[in-house]
Amino acid sequence: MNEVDILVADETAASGLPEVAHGITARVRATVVGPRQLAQRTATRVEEVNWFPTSGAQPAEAWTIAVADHLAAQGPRLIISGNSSADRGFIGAAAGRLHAPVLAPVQDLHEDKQGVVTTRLLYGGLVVRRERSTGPICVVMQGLPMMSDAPSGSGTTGIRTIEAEPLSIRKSGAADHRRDSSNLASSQRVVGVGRGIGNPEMLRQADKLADALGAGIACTRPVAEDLGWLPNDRYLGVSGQQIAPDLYLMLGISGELQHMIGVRDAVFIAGINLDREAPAVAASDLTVIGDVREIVPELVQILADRSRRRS
Amino acid sequence: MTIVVGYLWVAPPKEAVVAENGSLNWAGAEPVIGKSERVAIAFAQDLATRLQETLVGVTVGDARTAAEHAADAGLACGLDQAQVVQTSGLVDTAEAAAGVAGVCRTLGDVRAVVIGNASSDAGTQLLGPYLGGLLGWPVITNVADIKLSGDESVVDVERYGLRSQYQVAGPLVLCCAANACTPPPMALRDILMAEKKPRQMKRLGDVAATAVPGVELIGQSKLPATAREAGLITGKTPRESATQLVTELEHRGML
Repeated sequence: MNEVDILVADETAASGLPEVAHGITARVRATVVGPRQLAQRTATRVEEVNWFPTSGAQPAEAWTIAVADHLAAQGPRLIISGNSSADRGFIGAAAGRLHAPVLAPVQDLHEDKQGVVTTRLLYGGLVVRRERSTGPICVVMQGLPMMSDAPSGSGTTGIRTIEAEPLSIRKSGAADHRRDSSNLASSQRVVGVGRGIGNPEMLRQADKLADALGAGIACTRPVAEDLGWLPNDRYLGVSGQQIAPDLYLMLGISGELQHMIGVRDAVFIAGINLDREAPAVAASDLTVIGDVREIVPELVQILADRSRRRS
Repeated sequence: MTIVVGYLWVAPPKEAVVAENGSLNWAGAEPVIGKSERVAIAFAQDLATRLQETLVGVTVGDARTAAEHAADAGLACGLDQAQVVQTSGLVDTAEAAAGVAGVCRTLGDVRAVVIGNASSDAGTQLLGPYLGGLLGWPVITNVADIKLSGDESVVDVERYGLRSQYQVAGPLVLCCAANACTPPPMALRDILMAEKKPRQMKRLGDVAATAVPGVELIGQSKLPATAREAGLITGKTPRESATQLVTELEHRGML
């Protein structure tokens, strides 16, 4: 393939997408939406940068159609994005403008003699499907590689600023408090919470446990989307983040397949669960059978004592 | 003016039986309207009621799911009218969006399209953006509330536990948050009333001018199970269990 387009709307995409795209072609063209620093960072890793500068009052959503039209006009064969909410907003609109298929979440992407081959999980992680397309096609990549020290592009790319008319959207109220999801992806230890913790007050205990372990905090989809106890960027699973920490410690998680897909590459999975018949038990390496509300405070105490002894 | 809500009437994947070769058997799996889409319908119904506008539901499905029952299910949830769009094969994001966008163009006076935030497209959350791209409309996700006044919309968005407000001019696509409202329980009266409400059955080619090229399926397999030890700790007290867990994690070099 002569050229691959990537869509960069956040830091994770800026660092990970060039690597993925350079696995297919030597010439990567980036469309960047965001501050100048994001464009500059991307420019060290690709061969061409087209930059949509954004302002505070106008949210990213105002630029979706302009960005999609710009991409469609380039006649792309393959557009790749990350899997953040902003990424999906842009690539979804671009696919709509192009009348192109959009595949998500894609675990593997490569090219063979007949086209672009993608591998993704479907039906809540029940099956792995491999598909081929001759393009144009839009691909949402899951689990982007973290930024490497060495840029993958020429490192001398100029930045072309795109003047475009945004949609009429203005934003007011609270600023976006975007948690950096890459922190979770790079955490060696992660504590996951499910509905089984009982109430949001238990989150404080889970936080204490995460602090004691030096761990990130994650959750199941219902905890984020239905209960709103944690932000949406914290949920793991087939449609959320997929991570591979050394330790994943589950608190009150039943272990539905859709969630466990998100941690299937963890080195060691432990859990605390009242129900020894829960799917989580078979899907873990070690489970404490008991009440999470009683055991977590004990864990916090033991880890604190251990830390004091060591210091 | 019309409010449109997109919904799917499909069987939950966990009810399918997966063979080792990756084929799925849906026999016995009952199609339903998913939870986040019931929220979307309730959200759209409230919006349409406040504006005294008509609520049209659009569902896109294959030969099995683009059925009269799909219309009945949506109408029982509170739609004024249902339009069922049938595709030639399995429905993906592009075809679902093409069906909803095609109906919007046919209706001509759509003020807003509401969809669920999560399950309308198997959790990929791309249906809204794709629809926005097809229609050239703004897409706002994680919508908690909305006030419409003339051409202006004031949309409350809840993201990462914080609310912000968007002012948008013109028609728009709203992906409502999973907790934006609580759908009312369905009563027998709703089901009986649904049978009397108008519905139209269409084919995708009737409403969508441009077909989206498909992708070639070259392989499908059951996701291989990851073997885990499934060990248990059953201490006599919470303290004992916690101590055993910490010891085990230390022993394995996890701490």
